[in-house]
Amino acid sequence: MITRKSKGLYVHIPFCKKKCSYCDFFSVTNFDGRIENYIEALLAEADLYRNTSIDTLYIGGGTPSLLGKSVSRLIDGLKEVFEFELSEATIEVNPESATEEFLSATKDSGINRISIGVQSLSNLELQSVDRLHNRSHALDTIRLAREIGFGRISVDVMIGLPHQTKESLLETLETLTNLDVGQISAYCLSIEEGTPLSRHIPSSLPSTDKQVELFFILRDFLIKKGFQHVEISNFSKPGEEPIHNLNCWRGYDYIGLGAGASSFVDGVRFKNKCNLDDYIHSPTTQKIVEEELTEKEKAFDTAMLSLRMLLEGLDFNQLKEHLEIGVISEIKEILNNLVTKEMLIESDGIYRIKDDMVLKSNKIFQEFII
Amino acid sequence: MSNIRNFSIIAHIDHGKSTLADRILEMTGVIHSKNNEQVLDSMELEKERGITIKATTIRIPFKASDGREYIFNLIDTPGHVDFNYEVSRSLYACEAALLLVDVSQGVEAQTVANAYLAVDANLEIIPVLNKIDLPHAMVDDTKMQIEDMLGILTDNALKVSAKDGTGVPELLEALPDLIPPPSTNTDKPLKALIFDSHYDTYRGTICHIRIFDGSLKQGDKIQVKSTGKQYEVEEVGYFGIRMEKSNNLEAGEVGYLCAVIRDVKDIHVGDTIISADHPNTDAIPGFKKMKPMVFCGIYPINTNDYDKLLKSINKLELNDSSITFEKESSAALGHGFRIGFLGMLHMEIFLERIRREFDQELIATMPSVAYKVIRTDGEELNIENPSKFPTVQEIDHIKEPIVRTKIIVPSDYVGSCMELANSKRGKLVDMEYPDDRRTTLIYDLPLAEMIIDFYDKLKTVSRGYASLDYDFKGFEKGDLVKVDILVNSDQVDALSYISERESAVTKARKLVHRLLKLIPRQQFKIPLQGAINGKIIAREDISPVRKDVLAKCYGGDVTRKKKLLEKQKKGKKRMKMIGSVEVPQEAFLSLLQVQGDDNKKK
Repeated sequence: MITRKSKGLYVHIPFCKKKCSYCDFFSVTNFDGRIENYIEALLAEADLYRNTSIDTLYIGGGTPSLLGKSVSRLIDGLKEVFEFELSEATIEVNPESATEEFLSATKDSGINRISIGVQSLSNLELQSVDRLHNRSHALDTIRLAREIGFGRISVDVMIGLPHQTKESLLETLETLTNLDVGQISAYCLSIEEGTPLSRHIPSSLPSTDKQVELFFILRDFLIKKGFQHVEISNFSKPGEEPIHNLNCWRGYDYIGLGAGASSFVDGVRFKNKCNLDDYIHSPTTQKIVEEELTEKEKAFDTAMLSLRMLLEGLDFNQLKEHLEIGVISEIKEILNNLVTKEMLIESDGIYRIKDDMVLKSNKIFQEFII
Repeated sequence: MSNIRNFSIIAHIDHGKSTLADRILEMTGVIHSKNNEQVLDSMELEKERGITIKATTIRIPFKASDGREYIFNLIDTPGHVDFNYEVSRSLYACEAALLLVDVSQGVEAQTVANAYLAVDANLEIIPVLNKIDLPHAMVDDTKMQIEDMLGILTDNALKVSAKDGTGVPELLEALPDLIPPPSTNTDKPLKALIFDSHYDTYRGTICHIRIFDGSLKQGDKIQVKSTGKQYEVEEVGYFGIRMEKSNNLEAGEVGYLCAVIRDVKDIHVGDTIISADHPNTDAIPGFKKMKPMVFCGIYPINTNDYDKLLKSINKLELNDSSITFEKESSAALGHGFRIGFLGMLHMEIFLERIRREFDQELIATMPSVAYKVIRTDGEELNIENPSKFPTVQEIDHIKEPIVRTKIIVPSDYVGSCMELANSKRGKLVDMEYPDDRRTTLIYDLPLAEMIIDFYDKLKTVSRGYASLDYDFKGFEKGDLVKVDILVNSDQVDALSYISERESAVTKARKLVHRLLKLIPRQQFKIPLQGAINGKIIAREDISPVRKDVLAKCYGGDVTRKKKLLEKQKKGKKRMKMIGSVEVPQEAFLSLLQVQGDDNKKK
């Protein structure tokens, strides 16, 4: 397995004006006057890793665009703490809060990629999951980002929204691709425990079968438009691949800052507690270790995560470096077995998920759970 | 006159038998504290379930207030209808029985059944009223019930609260006069009753015996009456808290005997031990080899575990000689065993014990009774496994086992109990009115209906007030058919069942529907069908999995997503591969639920 000098850096901004009905990420809606404090807390936590070399930055949420121009203070502060050698610096934005002021500030601070939570261009569908923006907000945000000079724009699209049809999905995709976005993350709407959606499942929600159909319509459409299916839920034009995320699936280390943020460093998965007040009060003492992986577990995790990358696949020859012979043969056996069952395809030591298994890949991933 | 007194305590379940035994042991100093709750129920499972599965015997030295010293042998009896025969043999080893009745409940079905067993064994019956400390104690009513229903006089009935010990010292003082001393004919040739046995890894099968005639000591040559097998006695002794070696056992005494008896199957409860020098000594009457009534298949989920399962069964069999088992193979489940039990409770307990012992996932198939199938050529087959039934063309008729069932229920619930019994194909034989608030219903019920969930249902419809007892009556002709279940077009023998013809189709539809919900979607479409003699009578399709993916998995969720996958994987491990279909264990018992539903609707 590869040992790298640099790590990824994830920064969590746990603020939302309103929670979307399907979302189970950690965020709070009552954050008045706490943005500045939170940024200072983030920088204090960052100090634990002073001088660490960072090659990808991803500011996610929550809703990072709610930071407004304070975003500069955050990024400048991070630059001061870490050794930035960034090949990619992404920030997530929501159309209703991505002001020109905010976008310009991020651009000036060195952010080179924006990920916009469009979800859909149908107002009916957007309202049905409590999104705060509408079609024109979304389109304006994309155009504005272009004008300000962002070369790389990624958008999120949801599949299986209430009221969604094949036609409405294709219309959304057609419009987005015409605006020349370079990457589309397409998520099937899933009903997560504890979310408002799970308590009131709308009758207009498409069936699983319908969701699957829509997913393949989306995939075929995007491939025709020159996108590559780089990961189960991600489609990118060549050169627009989401590097920060790919690195995470490659099993590389990443540092997570902020309340509720997860890290993976030296085989340990740990996470900050999901409590905004506690985090602001004491940002360096919120960590909970979730897993301490043995070399074997780390290899199994990497194999499983790498297989999510449909294009790059799992490079077995790379994985097996520095691994014990027993672990190598165990993984090899699982892989061969999956090839025999026609779930994986192997070529030149690289294993990839077979096309028709993409939406049924848990069967494959399960094999790597020890 | 002998100073020995041999007795049992008999009671309906939960009337306080084990608690009274504990108080007796404490007050006689056999045990010293209340930490030793329910000494007689020594198996972990017995304590959990609160019922005695294996009878235990204990010798209690007692010094009366007049200074005389006695030896009490308290022979505990199993407390469930499945073990009636064992109870009858334990009782035979005594001279008296304490008939313990909870005065907040009154006489119940098993009170009656056990009292009759005691009468059959010619015992002196001593009524003991328990729980007299309870505010709703119905002492007079209970006395009247005992007199009216059982014909036992209650003038001398003892009153106790086993829980707090009230009345127990008086009871102990009274026992030497109330219990007849055993006859002590030591001059006659040896005659001893085996009323129980257990297995010891070093000493083989150990017989629990009551000596009626003669005596027994180390080195004696003995013979088991029914088998003619001879052994040399290695050790005899008494049951204290542990086994205590003694020089000899004499007529009237209760104790144990080891004689290097390797095979537990050579010793049967109820058999007689005689002296090898006097092979013509009469057997003690009442001996019968117990025949199992309920059967089920057990299979390891993982075929490699077959030998381990066999070992586990062998181990449990050593202390439960009433089970029968034979190897069985199923096209669907591979190699396993068909095990015969005395009844449903016996089966449940055994399955629970084997799950603990085996410590691996296993599949238990639907319980079945033994049918007599009379072929067109007149041959009669005894069939314990529905999948082994001959084809319809070969069958002339089928007979099924019937049990005569006695239900005692407060008059308010007679209607619902009768409805239940009728829905289970019961035939009303008689109704009796033991007192002005209760009715006794006598039904003939197919055992097959009884074993499913009759007792639970009866408790439900009577809000817990009905009590039940049953006895095997015989085989009767029934209009029965075999229903086969096909999963992905393959017949799954382990799911075949016998049903009365009239309800076969409805039952098959419900079962197939139930399976539809239980068997997870797989990569391909799976038809589920029910068939009688090849003709399809029910069908549902399980549609294939179209989506099973963790769509979102970024740095933040890896641990959580892995936990989800782990949960999925665990579920899979508990499944049995049938052809290319993963079938969960529950599927093999789903008929139980189907029949259960049946009743709820009625």
